[in-house]
Amino acid sequence: MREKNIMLLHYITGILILVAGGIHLSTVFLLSPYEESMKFDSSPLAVMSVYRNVLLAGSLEALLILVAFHGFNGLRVILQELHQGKTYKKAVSLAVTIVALALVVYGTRTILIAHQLANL
Amino acid sequence: MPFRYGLERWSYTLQRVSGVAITLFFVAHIVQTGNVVGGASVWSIPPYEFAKKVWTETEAFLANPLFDLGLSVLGFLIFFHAFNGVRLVLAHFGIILKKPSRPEYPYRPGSMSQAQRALFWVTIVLAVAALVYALDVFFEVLRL
Amino acid sequence: MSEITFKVFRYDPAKDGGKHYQTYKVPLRRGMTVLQGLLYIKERLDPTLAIRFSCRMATCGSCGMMVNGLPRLACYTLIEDLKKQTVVVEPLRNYPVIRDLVADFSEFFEKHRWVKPYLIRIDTYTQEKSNTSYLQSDEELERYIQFAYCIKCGLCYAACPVVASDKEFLGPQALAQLYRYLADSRDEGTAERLKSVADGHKLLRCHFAGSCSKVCPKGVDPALAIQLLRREVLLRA
Repeated sequence: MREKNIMLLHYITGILILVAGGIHLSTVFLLSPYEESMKFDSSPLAVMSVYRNVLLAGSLEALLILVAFHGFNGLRVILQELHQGKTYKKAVSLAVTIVALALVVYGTRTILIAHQLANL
Repeated sequence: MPFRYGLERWSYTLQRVSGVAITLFFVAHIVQTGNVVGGASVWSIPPYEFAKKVWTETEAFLANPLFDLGLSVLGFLIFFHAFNGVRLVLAHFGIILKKPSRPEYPYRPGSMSQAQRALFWVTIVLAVAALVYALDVFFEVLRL
Repeated sequence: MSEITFKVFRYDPAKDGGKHYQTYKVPLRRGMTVLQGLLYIKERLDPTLAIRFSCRMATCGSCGMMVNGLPRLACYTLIEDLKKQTVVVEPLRNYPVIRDLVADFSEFFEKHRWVKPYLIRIDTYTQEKSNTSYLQSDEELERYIQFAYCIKCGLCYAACPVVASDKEFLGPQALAQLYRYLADSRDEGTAERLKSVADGHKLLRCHFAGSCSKVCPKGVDPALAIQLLRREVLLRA
């Protein structure tokens, strides 16, 4: 049962990433010229302004979690295909989960602080 | 070397390679955007000037045209992985595949349906479009 | 009368265990198959060559081997179709080699047996004693008959990239047979079959590389069977 559920989640997160990723790419590339987007100052067009808006920051957070799951689950699948064995399997699952969680924690910190910084 | 097994095998290979590349980029990207607020040492609101300093340094490091080229290639890979992924979800649930039927020589497998193959080429077109757009943004090739 | 060069993989664990390629020159007739070439070698040039073959008409599935890099049936491959001056013949990939071109199919058949390739009925009495047959409409037959054409030649197993690295993956042939029995309206073991592949690497490591359907000599299309099976497992099990 479990692998089947993980794979269903893999498909679902993949589709949701299309939406969240689309929003992310639009804010960076389409709302303003690229050079403007990359400026630090919280001018209305800069990347930092994305963090100011709760909905946009929320979509970034969602993208973070979805990509972390989808990407590291993919890595887990590839690694577990290359070699089989009980301890190897558990080690790969654990390592992948830890790295993914660490990235989500670090990314969430970025989003929270940037949100507060942008709203100063 | 598996060069002659057909379209679906190429799609499988590229999907895997792009997936790994995107995941590695994702790790680098989270670390890099962490520098927008001042880097790994920061866990509460940092002084504005400190955050700006770290960000400016990061931006200077990333101004390298090699990174820009890498990002363009990554744009291709992301668009390929995304749209091929959509095609794969549809194929894995049998939606764009043909129904089973008695095999008549010369065999045309239902899994290699026109719908599924057409979607692959659509994916390639969109991914190349993304590559061209990215190259234009970074290097102003076409000045769109 | 022209000639064709055969480069054949040789390996004899009983003698010295060395793997090497041996070259033979075989006179070429029009319409000659790879199997005919190999038999010429065996009869006239080198009787120590070990090959497996039987029906020579692509129905027994015995003569599978790698011909110029792709898994093919030797009896079904015309030398002139290869369009090369040299025919390189090797044993089927992804199988242990017994000797020369003969591959060990035990694991392949073990995986096939594992999927229970027979009708499962709740009431076994009618299966063993009864005189009546199970009724099945044409539509119900069309749902699985394509996958029943499998001759167990093992070419799909040799082509699959997942089989090459993942020991737990069942392989396209076994999975296609699992779907063949699942889709058969006479079979009543649906829940059990779906549950057996819902977890682990057995089914879900297929990534639709499609190489199996590309090389299948009978048009069985195992890739289609596996995607349909995956749909059942993901949505129903």
